[in-house]
Amino acid sequence: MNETEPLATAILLAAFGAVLATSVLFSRASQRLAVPVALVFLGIGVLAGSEGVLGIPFEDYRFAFRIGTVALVLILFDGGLNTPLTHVRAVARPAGVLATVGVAGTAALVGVAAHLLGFDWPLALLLGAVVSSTDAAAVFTVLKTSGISLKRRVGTTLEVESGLNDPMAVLLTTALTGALLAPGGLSVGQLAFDVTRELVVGAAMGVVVGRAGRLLLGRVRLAAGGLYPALTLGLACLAFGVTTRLHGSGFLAVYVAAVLIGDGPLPFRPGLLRVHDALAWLGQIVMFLVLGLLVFPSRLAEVAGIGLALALFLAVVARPLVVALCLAPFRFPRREVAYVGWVGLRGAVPIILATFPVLAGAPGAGRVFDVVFFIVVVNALVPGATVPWVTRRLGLESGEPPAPRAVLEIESMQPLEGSLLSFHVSEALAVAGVPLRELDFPEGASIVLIVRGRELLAPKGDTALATGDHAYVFARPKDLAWVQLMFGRPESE
Amino acid sequence: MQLIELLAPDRVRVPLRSRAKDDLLRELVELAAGQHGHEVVDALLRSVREREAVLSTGIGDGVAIPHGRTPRLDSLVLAAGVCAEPVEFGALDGRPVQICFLLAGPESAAGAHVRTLGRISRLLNRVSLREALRGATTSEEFLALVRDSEEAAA
Repeated sequence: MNETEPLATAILLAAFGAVLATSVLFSRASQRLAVPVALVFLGIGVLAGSEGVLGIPFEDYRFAFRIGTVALVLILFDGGLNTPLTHVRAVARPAGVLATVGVAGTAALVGVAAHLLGFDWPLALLLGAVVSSTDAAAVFTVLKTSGISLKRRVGTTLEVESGLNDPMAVLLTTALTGALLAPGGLSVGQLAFDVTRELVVGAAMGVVVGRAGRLLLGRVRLAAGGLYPALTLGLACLAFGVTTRLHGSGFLAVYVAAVLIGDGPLPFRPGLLRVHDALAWLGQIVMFLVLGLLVFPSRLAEVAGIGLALALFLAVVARPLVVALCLAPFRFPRREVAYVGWVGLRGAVPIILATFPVLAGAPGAGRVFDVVFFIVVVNALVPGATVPWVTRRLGLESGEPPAPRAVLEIESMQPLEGSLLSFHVSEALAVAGVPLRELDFPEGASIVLIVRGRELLAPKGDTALATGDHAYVFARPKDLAWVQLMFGRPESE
Repeated sequence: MQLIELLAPDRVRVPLRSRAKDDLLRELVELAAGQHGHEVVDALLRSVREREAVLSTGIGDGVAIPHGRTPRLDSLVLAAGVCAEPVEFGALDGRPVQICFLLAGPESAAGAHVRTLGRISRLLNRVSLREALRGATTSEEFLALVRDSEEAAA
């Protein structure tokens, strides 16, 4: 393709647009097939690639690595923004152990298995490290599309684990790649020191950027609402870039910063979250498409046996065993341990990490890449497709009420006093079945809207709240005690 | 309706003896049930616990207003008291609870139930009343404080 401008750009955009739109439309297929939506994107990438129907010639590992890193930053930042700080605190210790000891344990076990299957030790351990981190997004998209909500502690543990475990996998991969290139250069002491430093610097920088971000967003008045997400995007990139330069884990910094920034009021909050949600989706799609383009299906056939064996070993032996050991001190019920062990799905991170040794020119890295690709796909299919079934089977569906069909939010660029809260009306509440005129709301509070099934009701004096309604109440901080005495716990809290 | 009309002297206990949340709920429910049998106590306790499961009725500043409904009652009943020792109640502000009002009634009185709840919470908004109630040593003193406070508000 040696077209001149502007034709070259036009062709590029047309191809990108076609593939992007196709991916989005086909994302619905994952619902029917109950596989992580990422697999659909990956599949479209493969189809568009060198050996597929479009035959797009693409073998640029460096570009793939860069796209993957950018996409991960977007995904982790979005994940962090949507994870309340209180949830992170509640599961910080089990998730922290899973994200460090757990990752190392999984890497070691898979490494041993790979060695037994014929890989030399350095390559075998590298392979283990590359596939050692999980991707909660893979689990959540499956759950979301099947309309199941997971019990909070299990869900949060999986989520926070996957937010925290990429750094460890990155570090192990980098160190083992280095050892491949300079045999004998790997010392366990050095590795332990590097890992500790990366985690400490990463977490510290995350806190610095997060705190600074909160201050900044609380003070600064921008001319247009759309500028706020641009600012937060900048903070996300800064958190990654600066931290990585300082020998800290950039991914950890991004996640921590996002959790802190998302904790508390933000200007333009609903809009800001939606923009990051969209960016994270775009990141997912582009990342998997590019990774799909990078694969040569013909080469996969050669590693099918070994890939399948390792994928099953990871899903059935390594992950459940490591999770059981890591969670033992925390006394989780057995079925929760079993669940966390089973649904540790692998996402794009292993494939991105697998490009790393290829880029470094490590001998045998191409074969590792193919095996890793195979492992990720099998892993998404075998535990992946069973996620809804296992969730129900182990009784881990949450009893939480379904979300309202309509969402009402206050969108403001300035911090205003008062908030709009939604409440699910259950039998146990004093207000259930009571006409609104009986409710003597405090001066500054009022019910604003009732969502009943598919209906929106204007609250009038003789409107009675029915069980199952979602009631939107506007209240100022001083009236919250009254409101919660009547209406219970606000949703989304 | 004035709270004092609902609050019979034999339904006020100063001090309340319980040291744990669930014991406290039972003590208050038994106090409210009065002469009613254990069916009323059981039904009411279940309803009160269900409400606590949604969110603690410890509304802050050491005040809790647990409440429940059961068709086995035929009118609103109110029980109240002050705990000897502050009780961990999972309150909204995280502080332990000392002043308790438990409101119960039938489904048919749901409107009055809600109005009375609002009334209790509004009355206890006053710092001076909360402090005085915490210092009360007998149920007579407790009742007198509530009566005076309601008269002052009227």
